[in-house]
Amino acid sequence: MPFLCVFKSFVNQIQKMKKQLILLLYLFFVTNIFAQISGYVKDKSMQAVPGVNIRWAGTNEGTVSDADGHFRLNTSEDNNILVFSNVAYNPDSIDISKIEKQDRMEVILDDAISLSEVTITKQRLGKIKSRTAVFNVETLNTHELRKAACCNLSESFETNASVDVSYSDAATGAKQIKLLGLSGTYVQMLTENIPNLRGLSAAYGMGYIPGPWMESIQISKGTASVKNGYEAIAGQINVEYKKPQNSDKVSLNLFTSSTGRTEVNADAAVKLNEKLATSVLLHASDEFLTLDENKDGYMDLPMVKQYNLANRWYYKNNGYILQAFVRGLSEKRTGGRTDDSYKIGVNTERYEFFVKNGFLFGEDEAKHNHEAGEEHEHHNQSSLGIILNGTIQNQNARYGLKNYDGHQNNLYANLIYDASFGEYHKISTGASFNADAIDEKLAVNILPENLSRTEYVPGIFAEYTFTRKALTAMAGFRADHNSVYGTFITPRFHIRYNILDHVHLRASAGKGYRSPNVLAENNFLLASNRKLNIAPDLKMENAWNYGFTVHGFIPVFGKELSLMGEWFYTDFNNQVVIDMDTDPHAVNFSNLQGRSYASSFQIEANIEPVKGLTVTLAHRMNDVKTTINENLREKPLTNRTKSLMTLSYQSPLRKWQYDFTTQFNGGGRLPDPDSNRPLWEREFKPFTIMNAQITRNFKTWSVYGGAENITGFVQKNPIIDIQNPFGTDFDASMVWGPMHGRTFYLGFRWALAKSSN
Amino acid sequence: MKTKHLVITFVAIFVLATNLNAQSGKSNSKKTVVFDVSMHCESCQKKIEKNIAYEKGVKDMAVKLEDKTVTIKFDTLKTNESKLISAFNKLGYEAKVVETVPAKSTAK
Repeated sequence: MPFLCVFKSFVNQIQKMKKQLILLLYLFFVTNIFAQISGYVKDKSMQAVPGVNIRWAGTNEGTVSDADGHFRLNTSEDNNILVFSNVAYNPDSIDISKIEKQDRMEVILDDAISLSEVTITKQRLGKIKSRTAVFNVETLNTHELRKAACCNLSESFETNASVDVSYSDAATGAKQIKLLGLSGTYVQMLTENIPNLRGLSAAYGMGYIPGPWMESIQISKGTASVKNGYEAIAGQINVEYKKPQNSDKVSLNLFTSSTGRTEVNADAAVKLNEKLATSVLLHASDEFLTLDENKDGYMDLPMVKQYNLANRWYYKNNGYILQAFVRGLSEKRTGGRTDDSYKIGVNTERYEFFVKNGFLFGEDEAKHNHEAGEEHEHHNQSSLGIILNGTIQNQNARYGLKNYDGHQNNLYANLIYDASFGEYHKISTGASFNADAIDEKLAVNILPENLSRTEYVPGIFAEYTFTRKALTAMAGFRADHNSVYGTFITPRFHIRYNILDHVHLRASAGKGYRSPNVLAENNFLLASNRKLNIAPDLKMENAWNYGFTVHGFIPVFGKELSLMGEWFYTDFNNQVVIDMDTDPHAVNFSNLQGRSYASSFQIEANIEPVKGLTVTLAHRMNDVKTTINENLREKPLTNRTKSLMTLSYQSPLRKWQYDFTTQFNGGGRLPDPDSNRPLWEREFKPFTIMNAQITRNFKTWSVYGGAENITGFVQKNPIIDIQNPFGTDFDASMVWGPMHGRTFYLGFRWALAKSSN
Repeated sequence: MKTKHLVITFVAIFVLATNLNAQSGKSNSKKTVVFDVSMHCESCQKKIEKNIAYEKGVKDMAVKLEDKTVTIKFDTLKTNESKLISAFNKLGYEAKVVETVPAKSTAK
């Protein structure tokens, strides 16, 4: 019932604000009757978008963006919702009453092939919650990503309230994320809107994406669009890499930390001619020190050596856009006892490529319209996207006496056709094909044969979007046929409605599926001597996810307080239950028999009380339960609550930047210990993590220094029966807190900006 | 308990840092001037923001692409209008003074 209380107080607050609101709106209209507004439309790659229809909602008054993406139009007396539409992009609308008239709008339209979002970069807030997208999307841009500058994707969520990151175990250094209280395997990971980090790369994949390579991250909770497949259950996280067409000419990043981690990141972009651009991204990192702060004879963190190299291309000619990407990665991870008597080694090699083709139809007509002046007819436009992606990964792992070798080949193709009919209707339809070949060998237990398998999944999908004024409604369906698990249907619904200008509601309901990859995804469990019992008849996991979000923008003394309340509920029809309770010396993987759900409620407040200072406060409550051995039990190693406070201050002229984050992690349950001879507790206690960073920017370079885990809190005795790594009690998987104390780091960034024009 | 103290300490440092930055312009040598600058695009704005910020004596600035104006607050002991205009010229932009904002208001 806390949800109701919050909602009530929220409504009360709105009522109190009403007078103020009306006055503000009145002032706005008085001062703006004859004003003009102007702006600039671009796409996510920062390219100008010509030919976008811009009109006041429900009218024919409007204009079209010119060849350079600029537009200007008279404000409307009785209308302040501006609708942007172009078939190649997701239509969107902006409530201009939120924008001061002297502000120039910068509108970023999102490719129809990706998640929907519109961003107004009025302030330089690092975290942007979309106000108009139908999905609950949060974007972390470069500015936000630099607030916690170490080191790769897994660290990018430190200043974020929604995503939790923790170590999987006490030995491998593998990190896993949690969203809505569910483990990362239920979150669909995408890079450039292509499913990635699946299967074999799920265990260590968060470390495969270097921080300085990333341009932005989009976090979307609940089931997302059906265009990217059926795998999003708890949500979707998309990473956009730096792009050749809008990156700095050359940039360099050096990083070192007190744990001995040293990194070099560099990238260079060249515009070969008006149509063609290419870039190279490079990352090398190494950990030199053998760390054992708690003197337990085991390294606190493994030593990881990684080389990572990518090359990408961008070609644009009239209505055709081509993007291509290749990448190779090699990683060597060494952990275990400092005296080498128990060793963990994981060697990985990974190769990826993708090719994206986009064809836009009807752009010429839009240009023609523009030449004809502001009066124009709305033409039906369409676009076609063809995506091809391939991955090869080889992994050799050794955990003490156990060897695990995995090999995965993946091929993915997706064809998306988008068409808009009139102003309000848009249809996306297409077909996809995914092939996964996973080959696994485990030298300890005898494996059920079907864990090495090949899956082919052809699928078709259609999605309809209706947009009108304050309402966006979306319905999507897909049908897929999995060569192992059969045919299944994925329905998904999203709706957004702005009940007031300053109060937005979102609701979603949808289904998600995934094939279990028990060993690949949980191979860190081999860092314990628990016996692995894998049921031979594991089925596909599938769940319904329901979400409800209220987002209010409340004026407080001339500032805007953004207040958001959200509730997500995931209800599993089938789940592969990881049972570590029944037998303290085994892990049982079996199909769900009974109920399993995850309920997550979160409130978040954002405000800029003083110019340059942004404050975020958030609190989340998780209720995650699964039927284990006929009892509905709380999911172990899951925090019941989490609170987050971030303070971020940027001096005038942006020369100094101070960031401070505190995470209050609630307690939770541990897997049942042996009742006769308990070797660990039943519960773990709440703990606090603090991080701080200071950045000093200069004209072409910047330095930053920071500290992670300032209080130095570490989980005591994270490894059970540490003296006997080959005994039956040995277990490094009982991990809920940090493994290593206070860490200091120092970094340097230099960039040669691309020439303007 | 230890954690609580630490949180309070950090908040205090933050507030202090904010105040220091806000109050640094207490002397009378500050002047705010609006310049008319020949810029046309987003990247021009970024270029100006990035470069003029590091000119000697510049305390705060606001770039408005819409009006083609740059409002600069600076220390008159360290720089002056003509020096700032030549800084704009160096970047490839024409600039001229449109108005001098009265002493009490600050660049926004």
